[in-house]
Amino acid sequence: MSLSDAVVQQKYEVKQIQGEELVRIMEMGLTPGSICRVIRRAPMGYPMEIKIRGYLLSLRKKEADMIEVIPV
Amino acid sequence: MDNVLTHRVGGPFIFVLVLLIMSQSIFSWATPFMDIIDMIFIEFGAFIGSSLPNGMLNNLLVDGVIAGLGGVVIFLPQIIFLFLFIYFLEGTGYMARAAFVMDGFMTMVGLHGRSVVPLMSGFACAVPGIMATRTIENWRDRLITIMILPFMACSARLPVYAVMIAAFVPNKQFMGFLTLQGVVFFGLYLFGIVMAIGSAAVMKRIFPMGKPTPFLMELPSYKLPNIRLIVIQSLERGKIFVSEAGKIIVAISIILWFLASYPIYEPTVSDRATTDANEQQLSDQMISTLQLNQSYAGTFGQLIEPVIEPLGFDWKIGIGLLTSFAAREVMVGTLNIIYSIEETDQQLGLIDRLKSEIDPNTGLPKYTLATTLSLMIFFAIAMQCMSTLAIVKRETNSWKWPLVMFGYMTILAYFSSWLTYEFANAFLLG
Repeated sequence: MSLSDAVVQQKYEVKQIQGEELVRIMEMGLTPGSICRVIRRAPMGYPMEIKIRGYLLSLRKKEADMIEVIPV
Repeated sequence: MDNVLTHRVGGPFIFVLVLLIMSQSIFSWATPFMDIIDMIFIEFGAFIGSSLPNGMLNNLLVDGVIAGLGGVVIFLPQIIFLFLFIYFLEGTGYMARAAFVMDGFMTMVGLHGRSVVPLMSGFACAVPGIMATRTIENWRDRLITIMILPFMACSARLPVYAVMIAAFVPNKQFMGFLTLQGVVFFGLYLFGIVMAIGSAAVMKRIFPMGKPTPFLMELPSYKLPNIRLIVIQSLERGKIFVSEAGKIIVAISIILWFLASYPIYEPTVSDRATTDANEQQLSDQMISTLQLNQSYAGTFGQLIEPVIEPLGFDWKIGIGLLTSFAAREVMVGTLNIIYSIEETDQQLGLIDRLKSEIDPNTGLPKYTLATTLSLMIFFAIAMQCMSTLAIVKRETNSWKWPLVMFGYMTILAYFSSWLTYEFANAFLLG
């Protein structure tokens, strides 16, 4: 499943990242094997806020679509 | 804390509240400083004016250089207060939350979550708003925000709207508890926002996409900002504004002063002879009226009359449009001079004078509702603020964008006014 389908407060493990800008995403700490938790979504659904490697990150649907995750 | 500030319903509400408090504080805190600055420059101008011998140099210094400098420095309090707020919010970590909350709505209209704060500060003044777009990282988002920012009804439009509405919109009740004047006033603000959103949507399609940068934004932990740092950064912004935009503004002020002051009008004997001693005041006023009418600016106003006639404007408004390029609020002052209003009770005097202006060809009142609506629409859209152009030049680092901005806004203003005039004539007065 992709991160954009993730449920709030659920923990996920990043499987892989696909797409053009994967370097930028991986630079922010979203690497395969890392664990993230969805904190909340903005009023219109996106951007979404996740906690990864101890800090808070917000990303839009476009970026979330590129990240494949499995629930932990 | 994030459960409150980025709450689905509460988040946007709190954000609007923060903006309201911010704009209101900037407005009310800056006003006393602006009044002091205004007074200092008037006093300084009067001092120089009376201590130097009369002549061209005297006029140039007082009406050109000092008035132009005053026009720059007067924005300084607003700019510094706005940046104190922005750097404070940025420092606490709230700015990222605001962008997070507003991003969904702003992407819908083709902008970025971070565009919201600059756009809202544009209601006070476009200049600090444009400087505040630096918080937008993506160049294309930032450029579009800059290009639509002048549509936000800034405080300089206020006096023009106020005079026009007071003079021509009947003070009738509207839907029970509102007045028609209030509704028109609110409508003009709304109109600016609609124009901004529409233009953003168009520009999003026109401007080359470039490489889309992913929206990945850290939401930093909340912390107490370093006050010293905030103050230093804000003063730095103020300094940049005065030194960079200031140069351009002063140069244009001098050009406009020249256009309005030359060739010098020589009062003829008959002008003086018809005047009693106790009407000396009025006579001086008449001379400045005649001076402006036959100056280069006046000639230019009459020259462009055929161009602006379809909008319902005459050459007198044409002069006003030209001089108000220096700053919109100058329009009221110019109309005062053109219509030779006595110094006392300026606002009331001008309103009555405009109402009684008769069209020599038709014998009907010249300023119809159609002309007024057309003029207000023109003011709502047209890029008539050299300070804004100067700061766009500074922020985009090229003359291209200020020129594009001036061009597209003027064309848009012209056609909107024309449509308004035609429409109002056809349907309202029919």
